[in-house]
Amino acid sequence: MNNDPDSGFDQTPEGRELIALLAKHAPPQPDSRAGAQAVMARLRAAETPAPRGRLFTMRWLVPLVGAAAAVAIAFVVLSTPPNQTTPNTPPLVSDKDDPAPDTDRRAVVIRHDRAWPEIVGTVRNENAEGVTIDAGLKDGLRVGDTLDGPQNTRVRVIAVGVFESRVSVSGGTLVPGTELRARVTTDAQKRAAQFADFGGDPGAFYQFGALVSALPLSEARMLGISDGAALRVDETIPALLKDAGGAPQSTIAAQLDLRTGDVIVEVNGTNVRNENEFAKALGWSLDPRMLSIRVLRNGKQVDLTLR
Amino acid sequence: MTGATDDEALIRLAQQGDHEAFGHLVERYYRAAYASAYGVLGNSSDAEEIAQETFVQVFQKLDRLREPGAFTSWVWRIARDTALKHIRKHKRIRPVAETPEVESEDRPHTPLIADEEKEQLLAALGEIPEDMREALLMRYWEELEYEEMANRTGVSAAALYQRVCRGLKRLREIIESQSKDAIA
Repeated sequence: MNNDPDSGFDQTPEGRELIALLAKHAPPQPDSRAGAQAVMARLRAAETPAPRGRLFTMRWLVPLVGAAAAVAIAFVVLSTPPNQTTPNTPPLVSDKDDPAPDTDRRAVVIRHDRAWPEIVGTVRNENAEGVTIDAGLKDGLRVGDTLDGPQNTRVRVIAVGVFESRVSVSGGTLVPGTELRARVTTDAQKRAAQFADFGGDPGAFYQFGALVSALPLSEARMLGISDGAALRVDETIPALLKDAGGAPQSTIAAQLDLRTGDVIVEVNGTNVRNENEFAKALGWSLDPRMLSIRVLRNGKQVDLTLR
Repeated sequence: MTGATDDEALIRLAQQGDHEAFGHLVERYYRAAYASAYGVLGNSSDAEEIAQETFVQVFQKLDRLREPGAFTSWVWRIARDTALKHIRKHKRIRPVAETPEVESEDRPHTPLIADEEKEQLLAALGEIPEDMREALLMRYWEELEYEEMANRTGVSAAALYQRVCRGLKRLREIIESQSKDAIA
């Protein structure tokens, strides 16, 4: 039995009109074989070894630079007076100038690590609700984060969606297309890197309102879960911007009162070992009122449902 | 047979450095990466370039893929993100016209209207949730059957059908609201 009110929309005149529109603007089909050959050629070119002379130079250059760095560090250490304590190096850029109540307030030591992606957003549009930018949860942004625009303009995230955010603007006005860059937010960059590395579909988890990870076996056994089939809730998203013109909506996870630190042991009566099993057990298209999640919270078993 | 198990074996081999296996994967998913990029760029030559760049990145990051079943979603997302970065890098919002703006005597305004319509469709596609967009483009741009989509994604055919219906409905709402904004 299918209770989804949208089911069958593809058979309605409006649905068929849209299908025709999609077909009309479908891209010309590419030559997959030629494309694959081009990709393999690029990979082979990238793997071609550098000329011997250059490698030879690099082989000597690396230890030389390393040795020079070691000497420099030794000099600094030896020249530091014995009773002087080294103060904590202040961050080069503040993480968040005025963090919102729902953001993580832990002190963060800023490191510039090239492995973390730079967070860039573009102003998409402005309406009665505010200004929308094309960066959101997947880019590591959370409510309270700030981004800088041109000429001392600054935006602050006031509602966040998976792919977009609504922001308040200070210091001037912004037009669509304006590029904004996040003030260095190590946490946000880490979250964005995690999103990029994620093997599953974190977009779906954000829509649900919680990010989870497999509980290490040792921790699971300490909780009495001998087979280790359990997930830890790493982060919950209380509300999500699902429509650029609408209000943020409470996520299913928030409605269930799922909390960070909860250990999920069952979803709809099924054990879950990893993110993929969790996604499958949730069944994104089902009625959330049919969902039941059993968690361990502070050592006690709690059943969460919307019924 | 091009089922999920077959893909999983190819992914495992490719993760061990087997170029031939990776070549098969690229050929199999090239259209998916291309469709995802085209949904952002609206331009076939740029989409081809991004599809190729996508698979270079996929090869470089393949050892990080923990769940082979998530390969398709992963490729879709990398293609989309790479296309968005491409737009930012080239400082343009979206190319308007694929066809040259040459006005013929027979249909002087058709290309312009078609371009506006395409622009509106691509903008609306950019607004809907990723899972719905992926399902719609697989169904109507890659022309896959629901069973093929299910094999590829690991999501049931029934759930994919619901995503398609919801995606269509959402698309209609967005296009209607765009049209109202344009009139206002």
